[in-house]
Amino acid sequence: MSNRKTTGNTRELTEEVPRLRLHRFLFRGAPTLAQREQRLAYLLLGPPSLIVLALIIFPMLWNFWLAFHRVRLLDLRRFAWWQLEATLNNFITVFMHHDLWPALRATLLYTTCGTLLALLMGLGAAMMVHSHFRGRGLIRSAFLIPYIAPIVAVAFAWRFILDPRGVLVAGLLGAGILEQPINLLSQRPWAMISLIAFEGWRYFPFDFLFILARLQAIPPVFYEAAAVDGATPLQKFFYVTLPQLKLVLATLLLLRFMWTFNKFDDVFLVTRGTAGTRVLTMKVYDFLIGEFNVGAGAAMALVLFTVLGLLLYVYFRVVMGRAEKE
Amino acid sequence: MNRERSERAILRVLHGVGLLFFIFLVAFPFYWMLVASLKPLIVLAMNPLDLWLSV
Repeated sequence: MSNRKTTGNTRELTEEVPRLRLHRFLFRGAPTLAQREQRLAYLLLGPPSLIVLALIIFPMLWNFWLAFHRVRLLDLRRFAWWQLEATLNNFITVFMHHDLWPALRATLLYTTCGTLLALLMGLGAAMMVHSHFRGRGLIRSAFLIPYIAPIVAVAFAWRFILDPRGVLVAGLLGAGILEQPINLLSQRPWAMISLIAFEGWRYFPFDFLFILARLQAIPPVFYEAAAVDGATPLQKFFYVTLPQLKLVLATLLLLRFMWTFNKFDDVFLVTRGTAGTRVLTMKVYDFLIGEFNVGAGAAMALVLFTVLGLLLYVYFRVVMGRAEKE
Repeated sequence: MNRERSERAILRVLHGVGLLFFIFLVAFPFYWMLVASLKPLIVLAMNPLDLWLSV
């Protein structure tokens, strides 16, 4: 017992000495408490600031620099950054490209419809499994599977299902809805519709999870008060549930819009950018991998960033401003 | 009172139909993956509507 106590005391002492040294090192020449706290605050801010600088600020600045210089993929290894002159040629290449405006239109359509579909499906699914019934836990867990499944696996499954010789077209032909096979992945407007449907299917679980969590946090007393006032189930939904969900829906709309706007893998795997589904992120890929033009790829990424920034600014000014006033 | 009762009945039907729709929507691609993993590609291409599990 005494041995243990001695060991404990020794450990405390050995831990105490470096701690005192660190304390002296940090606070030397800082006599007041405010100065010491300030120094500690800077010290604690140091590591996260370095991480943000290395992982976010530096790549952004690097991309910005590349966008204003004539850099090809082959030049990257041997060029010296101070030797290249700044140019606007990359932006001219991007804006004069015949595919830019159709790509912007396709991006906006895909992003808006995909985000709204995922949000509506998430809301519907959350409302379905909010009430009590047998097997509710199992169904709630099952609804999350599309989101956690590997994107390559589900994208290829969808490609085979939507193929002209796939199960969906065969089913529609068998039911007499279609007279001849159609290619849902490389025919306008079906390719975009298929892509939006895939987006809704793949990402509704994310919205579902957040909406369900908020639904469960609504105090039952609100519904009891509505029932006392004689509200019908639909009135309860529109006057109690929806106002309570407003903030989470606005947040999800914002997040999903940003993420869908920057989506590349889903589009690349499902439609490969054919039949009007070539979105802006695919243009970045085309410039970089197809044409080995790093500068134009960076300029395209900067355009993407600016468009998204403008849309988010408008969203914050209009939607969030109105929500704050209310 | 009548309106509330009819709304409740409609919502109950919608709840059941919606639940079945979502379960089908979520489960079908994964069931198809399971079936496709157990059949040769040629069999799938010849008869895409044959979705029974057979080893």
